[in-house]
Amino acid sequence: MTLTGLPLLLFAAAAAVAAAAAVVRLWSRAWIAARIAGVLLLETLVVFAAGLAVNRHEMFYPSWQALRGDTGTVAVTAPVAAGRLDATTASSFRWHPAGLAAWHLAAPPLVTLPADYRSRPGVTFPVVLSMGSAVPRILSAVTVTLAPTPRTTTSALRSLPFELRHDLRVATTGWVVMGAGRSLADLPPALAAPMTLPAA
Amino acid sequence: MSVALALAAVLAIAVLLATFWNRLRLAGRSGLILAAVLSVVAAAALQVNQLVQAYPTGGTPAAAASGSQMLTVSVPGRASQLTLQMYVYLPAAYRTGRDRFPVIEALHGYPGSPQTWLRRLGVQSYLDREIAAGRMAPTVVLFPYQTPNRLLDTECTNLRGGPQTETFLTVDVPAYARAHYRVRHSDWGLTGYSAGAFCAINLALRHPGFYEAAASLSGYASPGIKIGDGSENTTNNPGWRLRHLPQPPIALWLGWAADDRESAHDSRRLATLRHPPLSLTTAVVAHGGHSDAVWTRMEPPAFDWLSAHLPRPLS
Repeated sequence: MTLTGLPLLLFAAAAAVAAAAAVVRLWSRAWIAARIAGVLLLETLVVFAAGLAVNRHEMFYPSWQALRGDTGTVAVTAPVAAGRLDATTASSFRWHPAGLAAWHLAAPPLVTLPADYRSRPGVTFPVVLSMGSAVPRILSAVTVTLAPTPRTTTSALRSLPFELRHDLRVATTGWVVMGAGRSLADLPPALAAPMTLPAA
Repeated sequence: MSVALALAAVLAIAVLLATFWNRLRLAGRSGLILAAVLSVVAAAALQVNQLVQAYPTGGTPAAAASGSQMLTVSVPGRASQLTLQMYVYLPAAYRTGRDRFPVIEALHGYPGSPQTWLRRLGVQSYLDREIAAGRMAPTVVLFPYQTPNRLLDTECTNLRGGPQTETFLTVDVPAYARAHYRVRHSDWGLTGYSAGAFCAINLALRHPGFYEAAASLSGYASPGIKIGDGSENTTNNPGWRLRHLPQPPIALWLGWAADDRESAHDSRRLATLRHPPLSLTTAVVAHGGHSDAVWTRMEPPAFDWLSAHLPRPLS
């Protein structure tokens, strides 16, 4: 019988009613121990039936398996899509995406992969974006170093996270942007505005 | 403990009922039957409370000299006029680190309390484990209460003529955390189970400039309560928001159990409605319904994913 099915619920309710009838009918003739057992049985059946009814309505535990706390062996996550450059052997390389020209950079961005990038193929990595000087290799994060020019605009750079997402297993949110806030003087005016890539 | 006491009372009253029935008159018999009913109801209620921790007893584990800490604080709500308790998880690295730490707000279900995270979902040991393994950056995790009245379901919204929970969670809690801890001032993450999962999705969509990512464990597409201004059908309804408003450039993680009908239906619906720049990851647990077992299963991958989508300390 299924945990949330009507048969079990009806059976439990009928058993509770039958127990109530039996307790009332046999009360005066029964030993004290039998009375105690009868009362406890009745109470248990009532709670059981009420619990089944609530669970059937709310579906907290849809099956006996779920009630045991068995969730199956694996939580199936939507697969992490591999990046097109995942097979690249270099841990640090100049990146030439399709949208590169629109960003008007002094040189193609320098991308550095963390040491564990290839050994954890199911993981999406966070990104540290540096405007200016190259960042040393960071554990568990992909670093991108940009050389902006005065013609580089934040609005054009908004496509950068999505371009990078095509090529590498990276998150498109939560980027740490370095250099933008620290040395405003070194930056072209277009980037001096508060940088919050990609949610500008 | 209290459940065991209640069961002892059930037994004792059954014994009294059986032993003294013949010697009592109507009043005494009625009293005993009433006592028997009350004792059974009390035992059942205590057991349910044990499951959902709506009225938790006891506090947090004693502070250790090393490792992570779980603090209990009271957050004065200047903007919301709510003053509620909150638990604060500080990772082991907080003792030595100098950078500002990323923050995740973890919300509870209804009925429930932050103690559900602490006691039923063992969140401190999961966080310790994921951080130690390097799958998660050291992160400050906040567990705020979401209602001044345990039986009032706010769904983390500003109820018309009621508690201003949204303001509390998005203004007062951040202000408190910024003033008291070395944390990032923005780019926070959100998570929650059940009603708290709805809260996480809804608040992230409503405040995309402040929250970068949200992970929903068995959430819903609508609040299922009346807010008082009809916004449960519009601006406080993630299904409606995804359909009718521009989608923000944040990241969502939706997890559910395949046999949890309502949450599975709602989560799939949200997944089909999303389009760029909103990014979305889904996770399905084979079975387990709407229960602690499902949430403990999803907890580590959800926190790992959140951490990958939040700015992290560089050292």
